[in-house]
Amino acid sequence: MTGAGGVGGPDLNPHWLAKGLAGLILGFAIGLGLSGLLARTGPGGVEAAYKYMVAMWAVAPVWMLVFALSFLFRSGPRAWLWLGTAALAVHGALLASRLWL
Amino acid sequence: MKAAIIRLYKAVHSWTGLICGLLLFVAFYAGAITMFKEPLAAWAQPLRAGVALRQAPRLIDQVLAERPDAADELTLELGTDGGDARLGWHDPDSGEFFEASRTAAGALAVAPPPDSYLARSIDLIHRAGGIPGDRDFSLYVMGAVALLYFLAIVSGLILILPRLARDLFALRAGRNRKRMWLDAHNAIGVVGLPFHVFIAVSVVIFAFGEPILNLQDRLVYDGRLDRIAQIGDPFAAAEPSGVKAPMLPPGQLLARLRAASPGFEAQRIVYIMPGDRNAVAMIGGRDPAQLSTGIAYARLGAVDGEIQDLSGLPGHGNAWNAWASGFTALHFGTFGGAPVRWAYFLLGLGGAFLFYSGNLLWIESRRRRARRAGAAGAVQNRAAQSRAARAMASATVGTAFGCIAGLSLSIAAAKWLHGHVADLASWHVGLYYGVFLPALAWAFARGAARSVVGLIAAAAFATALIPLASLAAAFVPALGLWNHGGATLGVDLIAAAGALALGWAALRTRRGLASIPRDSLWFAGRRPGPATPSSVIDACTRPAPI
Repeated sequence: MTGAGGVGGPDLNPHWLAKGLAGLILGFAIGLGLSGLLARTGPGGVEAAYKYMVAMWAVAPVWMLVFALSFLFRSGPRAWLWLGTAALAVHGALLASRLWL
Repeated sequence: MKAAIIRLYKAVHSWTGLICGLLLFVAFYAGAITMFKEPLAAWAQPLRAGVALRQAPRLIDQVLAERPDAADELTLELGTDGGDARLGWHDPDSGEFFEASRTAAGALAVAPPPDSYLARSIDLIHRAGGIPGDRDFSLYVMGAVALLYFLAIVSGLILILPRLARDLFALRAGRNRKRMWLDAHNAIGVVGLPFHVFIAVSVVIFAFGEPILNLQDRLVYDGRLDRIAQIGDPFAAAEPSGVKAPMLPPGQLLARLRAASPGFEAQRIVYIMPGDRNAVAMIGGRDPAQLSTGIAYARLGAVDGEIQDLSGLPGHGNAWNAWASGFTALHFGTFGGAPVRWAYFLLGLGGAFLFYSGNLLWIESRRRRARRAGAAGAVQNRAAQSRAARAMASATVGTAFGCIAGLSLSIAAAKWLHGHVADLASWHVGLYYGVFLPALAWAFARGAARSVVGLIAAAAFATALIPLASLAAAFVPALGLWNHGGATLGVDLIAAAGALALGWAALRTRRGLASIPRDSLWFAGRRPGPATPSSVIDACTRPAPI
């Protein structure tokens, strides 16, 4: 630790920015994809009344939880790797549901 | 968990708290007040005569006969506790709202309703976190703040988890002030945890819901969202028949709905195409036993009284509707009646305390670290650190007590301004910033230690002005002010209690500052002699030599 951080701030150890950005960006992508899967494959079908509202709300908790927990990853690149894989998987499933369901 | 991860979360907690704390203080304090916006709006303006529910059908007929601008939609606001109802409509061209009443001679009188704008001004300040200017901009800022605020919640929880069982509710009062503040901060944070999670999640949706829906429209719904959203919407248009028919009196419509949904408390009837044979009565209200949004609507035929659609009502629609309205209700506290309102009021005040105490705790930890760094001889960091800590201390006390004083003065002024100024909304917002900004400036100019007692006292004084306005109304009738009793008395009582609590806090703070160690940022006295080398902050808070 050098001194006590920059101008008045507490120390942030390395990778905080990479981890945080991974959580912020990929967390949103994962939340959006999961909400889409809920809307398309969840009970009642895509046209159930008011379901689109729940699908909209569903984005926020997933997004925020991934964002908040992204700092648990051992390093920035690992965060991007794991969350990126998860986002690709979710959006792959969503695309599949649009093509075949 | 690894120590490095815990350290990172500690840093995340500090940074997010520092970045968001001040805006969140304003949002939570003003939000707590909006829990009582109905009594507040009533407190702020004189009683208006409306129309008795029995007389409403005649008034409706009169309006429909004389006012073509009311032909699309008419709203009958039902009086609470059997009080008068009010009949009004929006002019479809100008958007202006009119209310109808009958003169003593039985003629129709039409005028825009008087509005205190007080509750709405406080709501605006609440939504914007006190950021003046463009509403969309401040909403996006608050959405981003809510994301960081959720980080602060999770990181705070991670920090406290290991100690949770041991000393959560141990409020170690006594000589170690920092320990006591930390205990209070932790206890209030954990007690309010679910509330804070709901608030953070819902604000993200309020801010980013539109863009999210637009993205989903393309990614999920293949551009069909507009049509999907219409499904199940009870307001979806009906076709006018062009044939006139008499509508059932409101009392009968309400009785039909009560039979179908007993727990429902109706607040208004919106007539669509009033007077037409296909006229629709949308009865809006809430069911205190259910988690529901502000107002849910049932759809009835206004002519035959037949119930057409109850799916909008809590407990009647599908599960998706229940979930969607439940999320919104969790933000606004619109369920469970008065106990939940009070709980939300207290949780809101508790949230404000959380951000205030969090900032103070950070400042204290700066002092400790600075002292250690001083011992280690890291000289170059000292000045920058203490500057940041001092600025944060000034911003914290200036924002907190400037916000309280500004809102209190804005409320207290409502009775005096009503009927005397044209643009009430601007006055309320202007009074708020007219107090808030100078308070902030004063805190920076004098420094936190030497402004905090005065700021708390000013907040106490401004809050005391609220019940004083009501006392003036009671004892000096010549002023032409008013008191309505009932829930509006609660406004005066809460304000009086708040003023007393703030007055007590001012006295305590003054006493506390007198015994503060000299190396503290809160040391307000003069320091004779040379700077003590034990603390860097000490040197920087010393009055500058003249």
